[in-house]
Parts: sequence; C-alpha cells; structure tokens
Amino acid sequence: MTRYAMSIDLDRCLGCQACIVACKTENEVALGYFRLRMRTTVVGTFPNLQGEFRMEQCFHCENSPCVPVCPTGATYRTAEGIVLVDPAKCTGCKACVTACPYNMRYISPDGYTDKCTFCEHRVAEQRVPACVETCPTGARAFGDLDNPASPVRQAIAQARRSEVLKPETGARPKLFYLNSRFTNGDAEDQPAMVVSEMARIDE
Amino acid sequence: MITGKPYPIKGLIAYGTNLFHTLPNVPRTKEALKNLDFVMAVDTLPQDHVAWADVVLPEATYLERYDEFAVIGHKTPFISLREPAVEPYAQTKPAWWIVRELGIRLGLEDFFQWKTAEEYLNRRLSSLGTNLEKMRGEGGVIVQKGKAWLEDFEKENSSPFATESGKVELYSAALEKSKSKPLPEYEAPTEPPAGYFRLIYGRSPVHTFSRTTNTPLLSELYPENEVWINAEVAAQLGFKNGAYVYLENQDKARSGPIKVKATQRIRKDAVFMVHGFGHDAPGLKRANKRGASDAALQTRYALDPISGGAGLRVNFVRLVRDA
Repeated sequence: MTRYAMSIDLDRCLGCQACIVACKTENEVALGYFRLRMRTTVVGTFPNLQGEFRMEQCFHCENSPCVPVCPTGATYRTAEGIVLVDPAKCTGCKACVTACPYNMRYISPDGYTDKCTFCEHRVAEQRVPACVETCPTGARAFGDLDNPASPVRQAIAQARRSEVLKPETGARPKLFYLNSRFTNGDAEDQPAMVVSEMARIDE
Repeated sequence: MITGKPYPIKGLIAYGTNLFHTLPNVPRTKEALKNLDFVMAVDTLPQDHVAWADVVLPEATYLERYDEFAVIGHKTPFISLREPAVEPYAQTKPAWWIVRELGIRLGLEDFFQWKTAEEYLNRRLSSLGTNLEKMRGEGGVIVQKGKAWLEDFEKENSSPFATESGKVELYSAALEKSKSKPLPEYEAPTEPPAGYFRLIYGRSPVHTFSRTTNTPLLSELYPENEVWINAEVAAQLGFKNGAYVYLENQDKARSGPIKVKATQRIRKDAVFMVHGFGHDAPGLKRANKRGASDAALQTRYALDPISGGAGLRVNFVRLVRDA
C-alpha cells in the first residue's frame, strides 16, 4: 500500500522561500494567497542565538480531522494517503478550516477551501511535488512511507532527529521535520507576527 | 561628468542598471546626469533613473530574447544558452537587436556581419564544431572538461594563481614592489557618533538587487524592507516593532518611512536594511515608495587604496519619528 509523505531537513533549509514561489506557479495560486508558509524562530540574546526556518503546509494526516467534519464529502483522502478538496462539492463552510489543528487551510478567492495537494497531478505522473523539485539545498524529500527505499524513508533514516508537529492531536501528520534544533513546541512558544495572511510568520 | 576632467563626458547609456540604487550618493549621481547633453536608458522596467533619460529603449525580458552566451570558467567550465520562451511583449526588443540597429544607423554596419541572434550565436559555436540545434539537444548547456584540482595544474607544471611565487600569497611581493602594504594592516573603523548607528545593508533571499521588488510573486513575499535594530536598544529608545520611522544620516540625508524590526539578530551599534527598496518611480506600481533606500543614505563611501573597491558601510544614521 502506498502512503505518500514528505520530509524537510531543517538543517538544510535556508529560508529562501523558493518552494513557496514554485508552489504558487505550479498550482496557479492567486496573488495574496499561499499554500505554504515559513515560520522563523530565533531563541536567545545577541550574540548567543539559535535560529531555524520551518516551512509549513498541509501535513496530509492519516487520521485527518478535516475529513469527517466536511458535510458534503468535498474533503477526502485518496487511497495513497493524499488529502484533497473537490472544489465542485465544497461550499466554503470552513468546517475543515476550523477542524485543522495546524491551520493549513484557507478559503480561496473562488470560494472553496484550498491547501497543499502534495502536487498530486505531478505525483500521478511519477514526478515529485514542485516544492521538492525546486529546493536548492535538497532539504525536502518525498515518497512512499511504506517503502524503505523511498527518498522520504531514506531521509528519515539518515536524520539525527525526526518528528511531526504536535503529535498529541492524534492526527498522525505525514510531514516529518528532520534535525530540528528545537524541541517540539519551542517554535510555537515564540511570539509570532503574521506578516501576510499565510506566507510568513516571523520571530 | 561633474568636473569635466580629465576630459568632458557628454553622453551616457544606462543599460539595465538602476543608477540611483546601484551607486551610492544619489544627489551626486543626479548632479552628474544634469551635466550631460544626452542620456539614453535601455531597460525592462520603468526604473527610477529611466525618467531622467532623453531616449528610452524598452528591452524584452530574459524570457523573450536571445542573449550572448554565458561562458563560465569555474572548475567545471560550461557555456549556457538563453533563448526566448515567448515573443517579446508589445514593442520591446532584445538588446542584440537594439545594438545592431543603432550600429547600422551610425554607419558601423561592418561590425555587424550577421542579421539575427541565431546567426551570431551559431558563428560563435562553429569554433567548437557545434551549433545551436545540437546545443538545444543537449539541454542548452555545453559542459567542458576543466582543471578541477591543483594537481591538474601541477601535472602540467603550471599554477592557477597569477602570482610570482605561483602560490596563494598572504604576503604579496607584487604589492610591496608597487609601494603598497604587502600585508593588510588593521585600521579601526570610525565609530558612530552618539545617537547614531552604523548603517549596514544586505539582501533578502527572495529579491535580486533592486530589480525584483516590483515582481508580483516576490513582492508579496517581501513587499518592503525594515530597519533592523537591536531589541534592547529599540526598547530603550521607545521604538516599537512595526512602527514607521525615518532614517537620517550624518549629512542630513533623510529616507522615506521604513518599518522598525526590533530583533536580537543585530548588534547594538548598528542597524540593518535590505537593499533595493525605496524606489521613486511611479511606473513601478508595487515597489514605488515602498520601504527605504540604503543608497540614498550612503552619501559617503570609502575607497580601498589598492583595488579601488568602494566600501559603503561607513555611513551613520539615527531613527527619527516625524517626517
């Protein structure tokens, strides 16, 4: 059984945001809207600082809280574990936006829920998502979580640390953060300043 | 251009270079431009200096034109091709066309023994025994075998370093001969006056120089620059994160409004801003008047006595609340 998943090696992420731009052009996301966002964390006092960039997008959870709350069945999970929204069925009621414990969904200007699709149209053609392909440092890996030889399994196996965000939600996210400098939750404790609605959260 | 010495300069062609953001001391650049009889600008965007030109020749963007080959002589040398993906927008023209047409009109047609960019590029490629069609087939890049390591040079009994010793020279005999300091000597920089901060500048990863701040996809990621100031200093002075201030330098040059970013990521005696903002160009609809320009605050610069390189981090600014 295929279970698509992604990993991001935070040791390699430079915060260049090329993935955000690649996602927007690949998926024709409207200006002013974003499927990916960056969280910048800085801890300490000058000159003793530690920092990290963390890209965030839909985690394609295995126990997705967004799926059962959808009244029309617009939000669904494919057999390969990709969580998608059918715009034709979506009424824009925002139940899924509220249910997502990670705040990864938004209402598009066309009135339906939008979010990262793991570029399933590319995956169907045996290509990796646009964010993975464009990453200049190779921080991202994608593939089948059930296949030990897949790039994502290899990346996780080689990492010093691997974790998902807020595992206590029980949602079982399938985006793995590798080699984080901070313990899970530290980043969330930072005072966050939302610069634009989805794209950037600064220290 | 200002003094007319050693000889007078009467005309200038600015090609793809924003004169008011690339160079420090903007008032002096403007004074120099006023002394010219003729200014021509070739650009893809209505940049700040373009409004100062007598003649503007709008250029096609990089996705709409052929350009000269990029010939890269690194450890693995390569030649890469730029070719149009789409037709040029409206009346814009590629640079090769602009130069050739100007040349012909000036009676210099002998220097342009080709009619199209393809013809010109093919003639250059013929020296390698290849052509554009083959190059496209190889993905638009011709990779050549380089000398990657010092051993590759040593095998030929040569050196990659153009020094007398054939080595990397920490102590330069050539500089000593020319009566310059053979070893760099540390000179302490001038400290900022009380109440002022050293103005340092750098890049945002999403922008390239001052030329992408009007690009929709990049503008929405980083629409305006901020003045970074040490969080403790900002608290002492009462400057809040996100508040707009003006920057005034030691020569009373004043910037437009810029947001305060109080952060631990900077030392206490300096402020930082991302280069390339604070455009004064109404044609740049997204970038016009967004953020502040570091170049406008760099009324002073220091020249390296050996290389002539300009050091621009020698200006001091203070944060001012009111315009």
